[in-house]
Amino acid sequence: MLEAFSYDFMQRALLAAVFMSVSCATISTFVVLRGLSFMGAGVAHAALGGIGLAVFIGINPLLGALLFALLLALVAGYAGRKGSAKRMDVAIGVFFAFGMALGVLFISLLEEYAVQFWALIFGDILAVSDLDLMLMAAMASIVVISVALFFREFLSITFDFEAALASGINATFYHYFMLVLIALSVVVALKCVGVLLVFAMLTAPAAAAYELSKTVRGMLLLSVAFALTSSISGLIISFYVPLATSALIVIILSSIFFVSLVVPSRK
Amino acid sequence: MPATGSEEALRLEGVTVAYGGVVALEDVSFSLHKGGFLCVAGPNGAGKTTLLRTILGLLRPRNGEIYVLGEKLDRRNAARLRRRMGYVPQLDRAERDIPVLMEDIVLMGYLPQLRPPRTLRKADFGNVLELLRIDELKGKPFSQLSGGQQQRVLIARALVGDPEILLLDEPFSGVDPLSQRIILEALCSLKENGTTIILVTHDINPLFRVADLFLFLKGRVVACGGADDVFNEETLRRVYGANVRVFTTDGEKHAAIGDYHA
Repeated sequence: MLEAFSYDFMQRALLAAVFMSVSCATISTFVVLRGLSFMGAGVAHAALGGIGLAVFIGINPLLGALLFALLLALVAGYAGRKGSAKRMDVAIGVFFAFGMALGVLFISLLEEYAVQFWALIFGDILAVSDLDLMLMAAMASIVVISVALFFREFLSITFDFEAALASGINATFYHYFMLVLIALSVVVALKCVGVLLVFAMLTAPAAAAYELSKTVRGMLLLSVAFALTSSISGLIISFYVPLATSALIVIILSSIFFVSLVVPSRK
Repeated sequence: MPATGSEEALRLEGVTVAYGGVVALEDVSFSLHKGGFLCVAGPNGAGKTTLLRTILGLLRPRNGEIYVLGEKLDRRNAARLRRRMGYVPQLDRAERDIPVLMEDIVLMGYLPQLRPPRTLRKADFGNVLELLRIDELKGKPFSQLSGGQQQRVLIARALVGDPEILLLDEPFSGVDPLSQRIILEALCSLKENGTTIILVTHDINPLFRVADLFLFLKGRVVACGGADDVFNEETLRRVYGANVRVFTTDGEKHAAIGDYHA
């Protein structure tokens, strides 16, 4: 197994898998508890428009994805600033389609660069560059440090948004902040699992952990453990068997979720 | 409307609140002294919760002025004044399925006062857990508590920040008789220690001997005064409609609203 990681591309892929797993699984705890799953899907698809724009103007596609992901987070946050999930869903849905439409438009304009799009649509963790890794490390660090610092604030707005607001906490700020962290996590995962499969990274680890945890802290740690197990084992299997890494990661993760549904709960 | 006592905790002057053109509260005026206990009652849709949210600065009135602890409430000071108040929303507003321990919910009450990095110790609860008799529930998930226990935990969350004004929205709804008695005793104890209390309820009977002031709402103020002034069939009929009776047993008044059998 260690032989797999003697290659430079596998070492980079391993680091990318760790950054993705830690950031996505950390924030997925709040995605699941606040019922923001659609936000993850929306950000990922909207990011396609940003990727297209980035390829068009010749910058790193992750930067374009980051711009559109943050824009969607702000639009969705504004729509749901009073805690209304329904209004947020509508705003995400519209931006989701807008981002996809832009992405398709750019793909049709830039056919010679189509390979860059496909790498971000289905993920290509084995082709992560040093610049990608640096961007992913920075974004994953922001997500993990922010959740560690503001864990109680995030828990408070998740438990009861209005009571948090009424207590004098700047609940609206933490609401936006959480959405920005979701957007960052999606961008971290794009290169690893792609636009279409990133949704699984934002929901399945925490959804499985929810079934087995007594506390949100326990849920968060278990969620990270599930995501790390899936991404690293998916990476190793794909080294020996010629199968798509992103698909393997998501299939293993989804299997963990299905098993968690039938395992007797400790709650 | 009557003002009781000299030092005011709260004063509303001609407050009108509207949601998207629909008036929920109209021309509401009253005042409450520090350490006073106000019971706000009225039928569904009377504007009771709207009144609490307006006092907290979560809703801005279309007309009128609100003075909280001597300061005129506005956009700039709303968050600061909220930190001097404790709010217990209706129990069903909370996400009760979240896997969180009882004490972690109580500790949420400290968040407005402490910024990260911070360490919160269980000793910081003070006597709040004993007051609401939930100290033996430490370590239990909130979702596994009864409705009454959950309500007491939410009241404890509002109290750990040592508020000067405590606002409670239907704290007896879905609560067992034991929890109701514990909550009432806790509120009486807080009142004795100078906390101002504003409580919204459907069931005014438990508060007959406890509240100083009753405010009956029906979109606007129908009646406001002490128990002896407003606890009568004529006033209650104006608030709730025809099906109201007031009984006196052992010197205590009880109102039967809507569902009594003659």
